[in-house]
Amino acid sequence: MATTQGFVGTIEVETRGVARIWFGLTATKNDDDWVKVAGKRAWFTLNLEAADRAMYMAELSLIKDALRDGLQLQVAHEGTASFFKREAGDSYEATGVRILRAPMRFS
Amino acid sequence: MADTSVVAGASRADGSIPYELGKPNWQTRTIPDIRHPSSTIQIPESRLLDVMILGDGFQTSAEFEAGLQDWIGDFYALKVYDTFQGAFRIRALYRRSSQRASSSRDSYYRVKVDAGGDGVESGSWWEADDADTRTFRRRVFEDVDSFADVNLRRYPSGLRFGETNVSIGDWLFGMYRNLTVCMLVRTASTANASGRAFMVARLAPDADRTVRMAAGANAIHEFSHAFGLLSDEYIDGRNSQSTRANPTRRNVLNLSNLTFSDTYSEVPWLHVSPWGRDRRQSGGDRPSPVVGWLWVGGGKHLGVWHSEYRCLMNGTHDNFQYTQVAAQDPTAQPDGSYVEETGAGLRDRTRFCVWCQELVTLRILERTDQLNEADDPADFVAKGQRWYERWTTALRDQYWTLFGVSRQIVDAEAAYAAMTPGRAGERLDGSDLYMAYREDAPTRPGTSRFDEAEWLALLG
Repeated sequence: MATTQGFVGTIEVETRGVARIWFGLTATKNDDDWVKVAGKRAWFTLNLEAADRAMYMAELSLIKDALRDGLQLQVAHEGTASFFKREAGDSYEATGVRILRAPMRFS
Repeated sequence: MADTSVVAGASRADGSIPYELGKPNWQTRTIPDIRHPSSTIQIPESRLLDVMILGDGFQTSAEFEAGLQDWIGDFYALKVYDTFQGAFRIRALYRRSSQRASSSRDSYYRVKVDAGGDGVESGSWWEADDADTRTFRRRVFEDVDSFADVNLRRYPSGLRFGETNVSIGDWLFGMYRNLTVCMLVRTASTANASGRAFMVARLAPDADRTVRMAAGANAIHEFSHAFGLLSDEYIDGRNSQSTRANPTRRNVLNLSNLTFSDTYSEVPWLHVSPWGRDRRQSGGDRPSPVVGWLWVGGGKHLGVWHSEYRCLMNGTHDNFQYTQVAAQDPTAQPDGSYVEETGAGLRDRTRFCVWCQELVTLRILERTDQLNEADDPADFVAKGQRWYERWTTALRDQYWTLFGVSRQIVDAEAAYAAMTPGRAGERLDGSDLYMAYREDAPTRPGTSRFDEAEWLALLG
């Protein structure tokens, strides 16, 4: 399973025709150095549709904690999604998230 | 440091001269033990990998020897061949040609050269049933057989992978397993005829016995086609479309350096990618890791990918240098047009990409029986699948240690990070020649409608 890690820099929610939460990571805690995958700023998503709701509710609580407390977050995902945020190949569907209490870091 | 000596033996009665190349490297038949990388083992003589170098169009032994010296120097410059130097028994035979190799085929072996005399002809002439080709096949095998101890072990005949339209097909079965022939070619116009690799069959009734031959110059690139079963990684014809497929079952015997699928579960080199064994990522303006993603091209342009920007198995042909927007690529003419065969030179003559290096290692280990264990299945195709499984679950770790692959990846990433191949000096990681893997499962569509311009930068 592929993983990407960083600090939550933004969370966005859209429902109209999208039904998806997007979040982006920065490489360091106090900077806007957005994490890139294959040269593109990476976006991660949670699906808001009913069948996935239990999962995204659990994941979202961790993401919010990570954003609020500056905790490092690791996102599990597969390859690039068929949809995109800003350019083709920039989005990944999160299949899991985990956080560490500061000052611990994922290696 | 490998020995690169080229030592002539006594001339034979027919005037030919045998040579031994780098003999101190292979006379003890010692190679690293893949199960214990800090140790070595001796392989039996019956498992040595014979390399037989012949020459067509050479008119003096001195010019042939010069070709051999270049070949052996280039061979050991590659880490994988240097590391397993004890497995390759490299010998050569000089035959004087009264004429240079040419399209009229008057040289000793009658290799067919293109009309310009620049390279070995394409078009499968080596399979034709004409007098010149029969002479070519007969003389090649006569000279191979003139070395009494040559290793004529073969892959079992008549087997099938049960795969369709894959890079390495059923032609493997029946082929000489521990023998590769190199044919250096000298034409009137060049000592470096562009080369190609192909299969040469014995004459009937032994036509099912085939050997892989690397003919021409670009010597170790062609040798690695012939020995390593590696494919070209360059683009030959922009917008050409590959119709090949990946094998449905992973098998050491038909594993390719190309992928014809871009999905996460089907790309065979995930482990060298930034999502693999050595996790890598970047942020901000720092260069993004590029080793092990999907780099466009592999003979064709579309529908096929290789694993790194540069490799010995890449080339020039119609490669892009930075972007597939042809008019904006540095390979475009000032008016934005493109002239065929003026692509970017992406061959690295001293280095395989990490994935090709691993594949060549696998070929060596498979043919020297280093992947075998007592509980291997009897069926040879099933054996290849078991060997792949063994490789990924146990032996790859040892390979990683033996070659210091983690360090190799760090060094390669650093080299790529310093490259600025764009027309305006753009960094390589901004190129559209590569991409991450695509996810396997279909997903729900929908693109964000948020406006990037509304973002607030809260950092000071």
